[in-house]
Amino acid sequence: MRYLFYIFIVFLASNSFAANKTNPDIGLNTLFTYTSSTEGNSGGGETTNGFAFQEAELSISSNIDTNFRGSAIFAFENEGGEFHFVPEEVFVETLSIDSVTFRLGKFYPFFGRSNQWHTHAFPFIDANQTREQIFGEEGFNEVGLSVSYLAPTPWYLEFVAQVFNGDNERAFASGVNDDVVGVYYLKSLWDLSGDSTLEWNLSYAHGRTQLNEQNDVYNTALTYINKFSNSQKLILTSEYTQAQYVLIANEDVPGTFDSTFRTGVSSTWVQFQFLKEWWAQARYEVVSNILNASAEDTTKTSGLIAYVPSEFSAIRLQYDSIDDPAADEVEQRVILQLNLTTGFHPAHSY
Amino acid sequence: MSRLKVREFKKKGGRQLWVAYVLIPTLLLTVGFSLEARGALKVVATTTTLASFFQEVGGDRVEVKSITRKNQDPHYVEAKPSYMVILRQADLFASVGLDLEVGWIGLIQRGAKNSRIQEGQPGFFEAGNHVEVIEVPEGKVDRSQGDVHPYGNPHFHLDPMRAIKAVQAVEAKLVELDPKSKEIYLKRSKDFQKRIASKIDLWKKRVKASGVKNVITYHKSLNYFIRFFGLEKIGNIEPKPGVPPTAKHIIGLIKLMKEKKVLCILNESYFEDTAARRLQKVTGAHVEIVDVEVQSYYTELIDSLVRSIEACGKGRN
Repeated sequence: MRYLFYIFIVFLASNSFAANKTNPDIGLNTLFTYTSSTEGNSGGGETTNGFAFQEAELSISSNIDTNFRGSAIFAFENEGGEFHFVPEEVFVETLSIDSVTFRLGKFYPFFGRSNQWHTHAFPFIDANQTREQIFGEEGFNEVGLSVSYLAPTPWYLEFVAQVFNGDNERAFASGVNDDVVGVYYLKSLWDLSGDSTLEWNLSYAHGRTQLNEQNDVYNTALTYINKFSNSQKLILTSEYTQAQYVLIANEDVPGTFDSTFRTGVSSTWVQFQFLKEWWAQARYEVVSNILNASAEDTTKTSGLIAYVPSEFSAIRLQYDSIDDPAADEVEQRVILQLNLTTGFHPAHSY
Repeated sequence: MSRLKVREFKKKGGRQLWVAYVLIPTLLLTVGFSLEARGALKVVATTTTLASFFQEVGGDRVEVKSITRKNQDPHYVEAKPSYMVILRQADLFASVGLDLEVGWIGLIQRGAKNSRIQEGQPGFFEAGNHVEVIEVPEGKVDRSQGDVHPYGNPHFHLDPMRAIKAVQAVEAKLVELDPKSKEIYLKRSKDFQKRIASKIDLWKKRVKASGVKNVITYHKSLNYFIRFFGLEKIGNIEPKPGVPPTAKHIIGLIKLMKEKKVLCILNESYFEDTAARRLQKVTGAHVEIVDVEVQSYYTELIDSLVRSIEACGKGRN
């Protein structure tokens, strides 16, 4: 039934009877990687050395009429060698209501700085820990309704109230069929000069975990952007998320039992465009058990260099050092990614 | 809370939660919104040139702002949320169209949450729909051709006659949105068109007198100007639209410039001039850094371009 709903929305967006100029914008993004990790294929983790077809995203978007806009993004994901067709986002939103936009469908909720980013738009090849640790590999992606309001202030101030089915396996899968997750989001952005801005996000989500415990998830993020010239730009971002972390008992290991602990994840990164087509980036992330001072933190340090000849292609090389106290040794990893888009490439949010 | 209690909570309170999460905030947010009393028509244009057209025709009946700054490349603009704040109260959003702003306009247009300026509404204007354009690609268009504009070259404002056509469309749009001020708009538009038309002959004479026959430009922004003034364009510094020059392309240009005796390189001010300077050093041609969007007045923009051609002709830099 849910898939019929997606197909219906895509049909609305595709406007297939219209002439060429009114056809929807269609684009295909593909990601290929080569990974080399000290953990290799035997570490039991998700790292797989060698070449991989990481993901393909097919995006379709169009104004449906004067009142609605439709957008759909379908992903062909590689999970352990098996490909899955996943409707990442399929939604309609209003165009004709002043100050307010309603959005209905399946989409990434407005939450934090990075939750709405699709894989090809991640600043690094992999997702930030602020997103992956709290919401899992696929991020926070739910079916529901949002209403966003642009306040009549001299600076940018947007407030978004959202309600979703609680289906996120990591944070909000309560097992109660009609359980809902409430999400609130505030985004404020100030122009410091014609070329520099400061953005502050504050987010709060609440629902119930799969152990039926209340889960209050907080996020705050600060982003500074300075465009020095057409070929030089600096982006500094710091994001912090706190939530319940659910550990499900392993049936094969006697003595294990379901439990949760409060986790805090911080991610700080810098992106510097030093030539028109070249970027250098660094990231430092910490995952903590915040109620247990004796528990050791997991840290991840990343460096990346990117060659971006156009907005339609990029070659990125990333190095990660992952220090997980549960692992025997620090994992060293190198990933090379080819990021290609054909057709329409919708503008990324600022 | 046990599973049983959760179910109970859901049964009793689940529906109320929808009200709490969505309906109450929506009502609170929308109740406070009311239409402000409107005085001058609020116009936001994507470029300074388009903004100047609205200012010339609208006078004090309009309040005009431009998204891009005077020397900003309108092809590549970051969709800053602060532009949405500017557009939030706009009565009219004016764009050049022809996909010039395709990389950023949609985000700020929708993000402004202003129903008046959405596509298909009277408050959205595309100047390119009212002007005959050149260089409309024939056949299949793809990205291997660079950032090609599939609907034709959008820099038509550098042809004074096409600029007059655009001004007439601006006049019609203002009359449509504010019919009470029709007489003012018609008079101001006519005066502005006359001012442009009265300078055309002199501009043409000056270009002819400069002795400059052909030019090299960085991008295709100046093609309308070049055609209008009877010049010949020998090539572009960028090999394809939006693609930075390569060593191979520059070597080819040097050969071509020597062959065609090109003495004038016009480098648009929002593109870097490193390659132009290199060409200057090797060929001895003159480099003129030129504005291609209005800095103060439209006639001054064309006048400054004519001065640059004259400077090339006189061998000055």
